[in-house]
Amino acid sequence: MIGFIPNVGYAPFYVAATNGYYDEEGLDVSFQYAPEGDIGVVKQLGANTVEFGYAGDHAVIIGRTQDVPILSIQRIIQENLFGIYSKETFGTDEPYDLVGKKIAISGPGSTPATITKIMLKKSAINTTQVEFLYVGGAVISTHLTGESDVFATYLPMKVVAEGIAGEQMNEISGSEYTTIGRTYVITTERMINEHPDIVRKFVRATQKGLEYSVEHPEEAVDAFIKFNPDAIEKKQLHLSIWKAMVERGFDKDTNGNPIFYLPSEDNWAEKQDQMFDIGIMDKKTPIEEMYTDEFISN
Amino acid sequence: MNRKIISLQVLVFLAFIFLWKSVIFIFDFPEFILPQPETIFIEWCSMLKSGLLLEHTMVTLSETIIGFVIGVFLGIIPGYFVAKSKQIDQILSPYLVALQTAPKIALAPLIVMWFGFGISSKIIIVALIVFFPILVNTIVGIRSVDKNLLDLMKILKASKLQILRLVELPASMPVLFAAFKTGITLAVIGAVVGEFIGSNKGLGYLTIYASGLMDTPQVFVAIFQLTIIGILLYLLIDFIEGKTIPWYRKGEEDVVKTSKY
Repeated sequence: MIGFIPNVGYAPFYVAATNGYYDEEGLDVSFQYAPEGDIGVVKQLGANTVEFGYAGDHAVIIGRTQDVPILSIQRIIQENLFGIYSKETFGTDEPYDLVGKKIAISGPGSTPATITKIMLKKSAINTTQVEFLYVGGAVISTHLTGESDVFATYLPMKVVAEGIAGEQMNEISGSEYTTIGRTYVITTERMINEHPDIVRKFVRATQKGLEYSVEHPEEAVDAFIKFNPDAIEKKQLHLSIWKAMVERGFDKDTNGNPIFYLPSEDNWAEKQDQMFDIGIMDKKTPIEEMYTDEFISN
Repeated sequence: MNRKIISLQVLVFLAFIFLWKSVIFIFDFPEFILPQPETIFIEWCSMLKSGLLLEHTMVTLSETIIGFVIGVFLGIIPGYFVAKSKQIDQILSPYLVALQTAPKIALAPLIVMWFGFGISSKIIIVALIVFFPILVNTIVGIRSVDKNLLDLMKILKASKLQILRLVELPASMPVLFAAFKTGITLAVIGAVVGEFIGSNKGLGYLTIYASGLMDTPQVFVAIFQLTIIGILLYLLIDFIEGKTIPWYRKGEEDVVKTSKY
């Protein structure tokens, strides 16, 4: 089992299931969804109700800080796709432009909230100089109705907003300020200790799904629709989203092929320091406890 | 309340704490799933000392009380006219039932979107949730007035206002207070739901914030604080009921005493 919220961004898993990669490994995989988001996935893993989860590095670090015995074992979306978006530009397109502005964010403890605060801190802006609007799932609508000046979210939501508004959104990219926002397959220490063979098989099948999804966007969206039939109404939108994620979410080698990094090839210490510095954690965890390359490298 | 009752209440509380700790011990729950009661208490003290808890509490309390008062008025006024006029009853009833059947919790995201992320949207959600139980009980209360009393008032040529003030209102008060008690607990829920959907302050906000950071003790602090608010507001209404309709409270106590034998 794996826990996350339905989204075309999770196409690699749907492809792995649709193309029979999990079956080939002898794995019976079903999907469970955590409406609470990444942190809900970590909680379910901690409670041993699921064997694998898909979540961002932010949730992994928070989980480890709260002594949840989890590790990231495979990097999926390789880059941070976070941005602060708006219909209009406010000047230099730097966080300085946000002073005095209303920023719509999904939730107060969310990854977008953390990344936004890091961006502000790195730009020497105090959080009191902006106004946060925690609006749940209404980040786009609050912006389009004029209630917020900007909205802080991920690239897929930008694509959705542009579709609704019929115009391009201005972007202050988060990737210049932090690497927080990359996503991982995670599992528990118990699974690694007791069922390393299953972990290895799961990672291998998911990797095949990931590579296929990146190389075949149309089929990736078809696999997503297979598991979420209602999504067929907006197939083109989902295709646009997935293509944008592939374009921005993966470094390319000299031949233009996507690069898939190891979990260790990330700035875990910097991520943790940034989260600690903005005060959302009161202790740090050894970074070696947050990941292992053991399964992907083999 | 005599000493024996208080002792038993303390005993029940201690048993609850013992059960809580036993569950943690037996199932070996880590803190992020179920924290120890003392951890929550320490967190509660720390947040109280910092002033953070009071700040969030005041926001939720304001939303709850203002929304409740509005909901009460919105319920009582149409309730009276529906109770008094069969025609109004027939015209409005389908719409009033429809309004109640529409799940307010599902409407909450729309209300927040329409009325913004400030206190006003939460007040509206609270008022909507409180409205129906008050309305129904107003109708029941007004219609349950003894017909003989109404006839007597008519014979004495009492005006409609006098009938309302001297007979209908006092007679329907016990039913109305029962609705107030239900309404105030629902009001707390309404405020929290509104805060869950979009807010920058309040105990609902605090719950979401703490949950997002897996700070389970803080989640429990917010829950307990909400429980305390609910209990205190309920007791406040109970107190006002005792002062407003002492004859009813005395009658209730007599019934309890009589039933012992």
